[in-house]
Amino acid sequence: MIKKAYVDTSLGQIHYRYSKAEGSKSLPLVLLHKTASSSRMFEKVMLQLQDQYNMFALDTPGFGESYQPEHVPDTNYYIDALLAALDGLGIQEFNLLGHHTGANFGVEMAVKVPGRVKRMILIGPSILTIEERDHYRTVFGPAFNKPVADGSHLQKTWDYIAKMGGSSSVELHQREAIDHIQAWRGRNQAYTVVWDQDFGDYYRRVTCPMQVMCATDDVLWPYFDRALKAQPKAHSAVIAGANFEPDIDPAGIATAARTFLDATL
Amino acid sequence: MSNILPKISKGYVETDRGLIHIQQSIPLHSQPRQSVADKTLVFINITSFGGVLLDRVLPALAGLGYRTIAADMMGYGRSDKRSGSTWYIETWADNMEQVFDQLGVAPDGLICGHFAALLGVELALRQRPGMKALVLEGMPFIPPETRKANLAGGTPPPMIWDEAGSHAVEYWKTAYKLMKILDPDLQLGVPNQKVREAYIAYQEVRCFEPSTMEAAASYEIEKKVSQITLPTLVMCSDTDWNLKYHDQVKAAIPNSREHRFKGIHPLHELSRPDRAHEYVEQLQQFFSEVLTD
Repeated sequence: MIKKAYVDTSLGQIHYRYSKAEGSKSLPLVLLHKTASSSRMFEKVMLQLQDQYNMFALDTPGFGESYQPEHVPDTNYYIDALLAALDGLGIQEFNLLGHHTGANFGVEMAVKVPGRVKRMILIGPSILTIEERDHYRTVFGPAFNKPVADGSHLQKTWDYIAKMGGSSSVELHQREAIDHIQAWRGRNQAYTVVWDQDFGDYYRRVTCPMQVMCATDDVLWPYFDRALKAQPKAHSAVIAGANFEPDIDPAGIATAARTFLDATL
Repeated sequence: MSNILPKISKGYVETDRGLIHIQQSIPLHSQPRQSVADKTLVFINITSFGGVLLDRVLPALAGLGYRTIAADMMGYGRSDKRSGSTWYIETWADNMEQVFDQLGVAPDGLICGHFAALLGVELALRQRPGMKALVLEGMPFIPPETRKANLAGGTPPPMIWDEAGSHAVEYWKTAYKLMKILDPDLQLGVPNQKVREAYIAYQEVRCFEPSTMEAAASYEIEKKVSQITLPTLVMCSDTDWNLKYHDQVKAAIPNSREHRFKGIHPLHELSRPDRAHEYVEQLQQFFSEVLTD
C-alpha cells in the first residue's frame, strides 16, 4: 500500500509517498522524479516492487506538495533539501532511482555523500556537451506554463505533455498536466539550474554500483550510449515509454531494477 | 494581527477510508497563555478550495492561542479520492469523527462552509463530548421539494477529460466564473495562488462531483437544523450564492447568532488577503464568548 506524508526540514516541508515491505532487510529505495512531475509518477513502479523494498518517493521542492522555494541558486540546493528530508526520515544509507532531472540529482548526491548512496538506478542519464545543454535550455527553458487569465497556458501545457509522449492515456495526460500546473514555478526553477550542472562530470565520479535505463523514444535516448561508455561497468536495460517510462513500462523497470539490486547485494 | 505568527504545518490523518489532508497551526510556546489556550478549532474546508483560503486565518487564530486545524473532506483538496459505495453526509461525518479521534480533539469549535456545512450540522447533532460551538457559513438550505426534484433528475455526468485537452481551459473558465460570483471585482490579471489552487481542485475532482450533489440532495437538512443545541454562529456574505438561505438558516437554529459580511466575504476577495483579519475578528468574538470553561 502506498501512503503519503510530509517530513519537516529547516527549509520547509517535503512531501513524499512511501511503501513498506514487511520484513524487508534491503536498503530503502529512494525515488526522485523528473521535471515537472511529482512522486505520483512512481506509484506504478512502487506497486511492482512493494513486496520487496521499502520505498520513499520524494516531491522535489517546488513540485507536487512540497514547499515552494523562493529562489533556487543551483542543483546543490535540491541535493541539500532532499538529503535533509532523508535525514528527517532517519534514512542514512539508501539505494536511489532517479528519472531524468531525478537522475541529475542522483549523480550529484552520490558524489556528495558517497557513503550514503549505495546503489543507483538512472532512467535517462544525460551526458551532454555545453552546446547541447545550451540547446536544451533554449528548448525547455521558456516559461510557457505561467498562469494567464485566458487559460491559454493550460492548452500549451496539455500539448507539451502530448509532444513529450504523455498522451498514451488520458489519465496519465491529466495527472501530468496537474503536476505541471502545480509546479509552474518549480519547473522553471529546475530548468534554470539543471542545464548548468555538468552531469557528465558527476556521473563519471560515481563509485557505487549503477544501472542505467532508457526508452528508445525518450528524448534523452541519443545520449544513452555515452552513459554506457562513461561507466562501462554499469548494468543497463532498454525499457519502453518515451519520457514516461515509470508509467508506461513499470513492469520493465521493476524487473530490471530487481535484477540489478539483487545482483549487487 | 501579530507580525510573528505560528507557521502552518501540513500532514495527513489515516482513516479506514483513506488519508485526510490537514493543515494545522499551533500556538507558539513563547506566546502568553490566554483563556482560549488548549481550545481547538477545526475547519472543514469548502470543497473546491481545500485549505487555501485559510492561509492567513489559521496562523492568526493560533496567534490568539487556539490550536487550529483545517481538514479537506475525503475526495476533495489533497485528501484521498473516495472509494467504495456512495458517500452520504453521514459517511463523511463518520470519516471526520475518525479524524477527530486520531487527532485527539473534540473539537471545541467546528467551522464549516457551503457543502461542508451540512457535514457540520450532522457532526453537531452527534453530540460529541467536548464539542462546544459551531459556525456555519453559506450553508445550502435547499427546500425539500427542490431536493426531491434534484434527486429525481438524476445526477449529471461528470465532466469529461478530453484527449485534446479542451477541458483544461474549460475548467479554468469554470473556476473563474464561480470565483467571480463570490468576488465580482476579481480582476482577470495574473491569477494568484488561490485561483490556481481552486482550479487544480476543480481538475482533480472534475469540478463538483455529481455524487456529492446527490448526497446534499438526500440530506434532510430542514429536519436536522432545528435539533442543533450547540451555540451556533451563522455567517454569510452579500455575494455568496447561498445568501438566499441565510435568514432561513438563522431562523431554523434555536438561539443562533448571525453575522453577514457586507459586500464580498473577506476570504473570497482574493486580491485582498489582508481582509482575513475581519473574518478572524468575527470568529474570535464568537468563540471567546462561548468557549468558556
